Order: sequence, then structure tokens, then C-alpha cells
Amino acid sequence: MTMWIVIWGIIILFSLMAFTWMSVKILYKGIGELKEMFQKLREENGKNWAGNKR
Amino acid sequence: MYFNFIDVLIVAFYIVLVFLSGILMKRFVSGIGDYLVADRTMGFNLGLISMMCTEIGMITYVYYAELGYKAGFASLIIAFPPMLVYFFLGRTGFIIKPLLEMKIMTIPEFFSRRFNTGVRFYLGILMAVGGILNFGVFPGVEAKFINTVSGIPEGYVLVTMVVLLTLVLIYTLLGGMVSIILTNYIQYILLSFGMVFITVYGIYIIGWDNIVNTVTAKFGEKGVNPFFPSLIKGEFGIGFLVWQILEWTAILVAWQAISLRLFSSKDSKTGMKIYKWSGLMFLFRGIIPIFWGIMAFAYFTEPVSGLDALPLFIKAIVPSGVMGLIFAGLLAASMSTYASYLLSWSSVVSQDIIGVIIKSITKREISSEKQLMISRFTVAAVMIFIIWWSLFHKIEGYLYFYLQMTGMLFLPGALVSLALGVYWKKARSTGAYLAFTLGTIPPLLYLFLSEEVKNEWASVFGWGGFFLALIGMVAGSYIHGICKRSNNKIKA
Repeated sequence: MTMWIVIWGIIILFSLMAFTWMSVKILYKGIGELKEMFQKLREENGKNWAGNKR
Repeated sequence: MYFNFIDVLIVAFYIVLVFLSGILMKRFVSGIGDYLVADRTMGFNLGLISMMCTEIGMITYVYYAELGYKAGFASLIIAFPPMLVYFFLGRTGFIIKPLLEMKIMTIPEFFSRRFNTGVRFYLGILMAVGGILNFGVFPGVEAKFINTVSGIPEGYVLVTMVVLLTLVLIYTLLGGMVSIILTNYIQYILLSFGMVFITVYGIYIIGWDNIVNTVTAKFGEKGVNPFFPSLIKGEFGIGFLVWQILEWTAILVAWQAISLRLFSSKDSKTGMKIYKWSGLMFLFRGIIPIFWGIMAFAYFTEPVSGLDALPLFIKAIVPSGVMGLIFAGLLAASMSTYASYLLSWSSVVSQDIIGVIIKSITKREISSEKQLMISRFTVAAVMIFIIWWSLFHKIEGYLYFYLQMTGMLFLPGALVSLALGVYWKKARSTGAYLAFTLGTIPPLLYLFLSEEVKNEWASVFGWGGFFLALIGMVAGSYIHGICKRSNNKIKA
């Protein structure tokens, strides 16, 4: 039983720390990707964005 | 209401921010490609954020916490199958790589290319029924959650849910996947903060030793060892793990909300990378809320209902002032799920049911603008249905199992037909029809059984569905081949 408690303790601690780290990382890098996505959509979808035909 | 002025302000600010961001995205949508898959422009980090937001709602917290509350640490094992399957698919590209290279928008589309339109139509119906029945319990469970955490009177909770759903509906209708990707980003900030805060603060309030002692005292070894009394007889033993691995493989290749994310990625390499890393994120998605349920079990001296454990626990421990942020995080989790699920299931109805019917009558391809209009109409129809269904349906047994079994109305047939359709040249449409039909038998039986039988036999019904689907595909394909050969002989 002790072995299982130690295993679960390590898994919970790892999950909490890794989740925090990965969340900060993907949110930070996601900003650049959002800009890139809008840039691409704006170029391909010019008609809607600036009122010009494609 | 349990909220102070600051809490209300935070929640209101969040709702306005998400709504405005969502509707502003309409300018980027001109055709069905922009609407359903954001013109395939989504990068790796946005993909990961969007995948997490879609698959984490208040309901996810509730069903995982229910497991933790009722089964202790042993239920943490449930978080591993999705991680393993995600990693396997992301690493090998099994099924997903050929699908990405085909540049399809919905899974049933694959079936019309590989088999025929009839198979696509049949799967479309099963997917719509299974998916919408699954989605249909969300508003009811979440309305209760909101009622407990916020203190909004029960009579007003449904109105609150309808208002929230309407906001989601408006921005999903207008901006489709582009709106969803942007609002997911905002929602993930709050969602991740909430998940970390509740876990850390919960451990701080209750104490690790107290949690372990309470679980071991009340459950004994069964509360920590998932394979107790043995690997075969344990509640989370080998049968359960086999079912979960098959079910998650099916979910990750055929669950419309997930596959739509996959098809939105800019290339197959990005799609596979998203899957590889989603494995780790899905491990946390299971471990953290299950642990909340375990903490709730240690916190309450008097027993409460498994579904109420988490909202009562959050209400009891989160201090006023922070509650606004946590509540906004919970709303964020749900709104993002609603947005994605509305788009996903309605796309099945519009593309694979209505689209196929119109095409077979008119014998012409439907224009992108008309597809968009039909898709928007079906989003509204799906929303009305799920509100109605959530008012009347009562859940028995583990909520987690109900959700898995409704999904199983199409998942076993879909997985077997996809895998063999991609990798087995002899797979035929009769096999696909039989796989789908036989695969629905165990989940249909499960939905009509008593609660005790449900919990005890869930695993057998689970893997049994996949086994029957496999038999159906192999037998059906051979029968198809034999019939075709004898027809050719007669003609000759």
C-alpha cells in the first residue's frame, strides 16, 4: 500500500508542476502563432478584411 | 449569491471580453473551410491550447472528481490510457497521418471516399445521435454545478445557462473555428489558473497526510491499488484498461471535436506533434480533477453525492475575491467546450446528413456559402435539443461511463472501419455497415441496465463493442467479396 501512495504522490506532484510549466510555455508561444494565423487569414481573405476582392 | 462585488466584476469582464473577441472574428470567415477548420492555419501551441479547452469543461471536472471521490487514489489510473494512446498516435501517425494527408474536414467524409456515400450517411446518423446524447447531459450537470458554486438560485440557473449558451452560439455562428481558437486562448489563461490554484490551495487547507489517512482508513487497499484484489478482478483491472485503450484510440481518431482540431492544423507534421504533446496534457486533465475528488472525500466528514462533491468542495475552500477568477475559469472551461461541440456535432449533421440528402436529390455539389448557412442553422438546432434533453434525462451509474457509452454508439464501428479501411485492402462497405451495427449493441444494452449491473459490467460492454465491430467488419467484407464474385460469374 505504501508503494502505491508514494507512486500517486509523485504523479500528482509531477502533474501539477509540469502542467503549470507547459501552460505558461504554450500561452507565451501561442501569442506569436495567433499573430501568424491572423496575418495568413487576412491575406487569404482580403475580401472580408479590407473590402477588396480576392 | 456567494459572490462579492469584485467577483461579479471579474466574471462580467470575462464574459464581455470573450463575447466581443468571438464576434469580431466574423470578418475572417467567408467559406466553409474558414468556418470549420480555420483554413488550416492553426499552429502547434494554439492547437494544444484549443485541444485542452475543448476537452475540459465543468463536466470533465465533475465526472473525474466523482471517480476520485468514490474510488480514491486507485481511480487515478484512468488518466493513463488517453496519454498512452495520444503518444502512440502522435509518434506513429497510425490512422491520423493518412487522414491528414487526405485533407478531409469530417471523419464521415473518409467513409464516402473509401467506401460509399451510404456508409458516410449511416455513420453521420450514428455520430449525431451518440454525440448529441453525450453532449445533451452537459447543461443539466453544469447548471447544478453553477448553482452550488455561485449560489445563483436554482430557478435562475437554467436561464443563466441559456444566456451563456446563446453567447457561445452567437460567436460560434459568426466566427466558427477562428472565433473558437481565439476565445480558447483567453479561456485557457483562466482555466489553467483555476486548475493550479484549487490543487495547491486544497493541499494547503487539508494537508497531504490527512488526505492519505482518510482514503486508506475508509477504502483500505482498494482506495490506492487499482488492481486490487487482482489484475483481472480489480475494478480498474486489465479488462477496464483494454476497453479504455480501445475507446481512447477511437475517440482520438473519430471524435468529431478532436478530429476537427486535428484537421485544422496547418500540416500533418503539426497535427502529429499536437497529438504527441496532448498526451501529457491529457494526463494532467485526468490526474488534477480526480485528485480534487479525493481531496473532497478527505474534506467532508458527512457523505455527499459523488456529482455534488466537487462544487461543494470548491465553494467550501475558495476564498471570496478569488472565487470570481475561479468561477470565470470554470465558465471558460465550459464555454469553450460548448463552442467546439456545437460546431463539431452540427458539422456532422450539416455535412454528413443534410448535405448528403440534398446532394442525392439535386445531384449537384452544394456551394460553400450554402454549406455555411446549413451549418449555422444546425448549430442552433443542436443547442435547442441539448437544453431540452438535459431537462428530462436522469443519469444512473458513473457519469464517466454514461459519457463513454453514448460515444460508443459509433466509436467501435468507426475505429475498426477507419483502421481496416486505411490498412486492409479487402475492407468493403458491407463490412463497415456490419461493424457499425454490431458495435452499437453493447452500449445500447448498457444504457437500459440497472445501476449495479452497469458499474460491474461496464468494461465487458466496453471492449465487447469493439470485438463485435471487428467481427462485423471482417465477416461483412468477406461476404461482400463472395457476393461480388458470384455476381460476376452470373454476368459472365
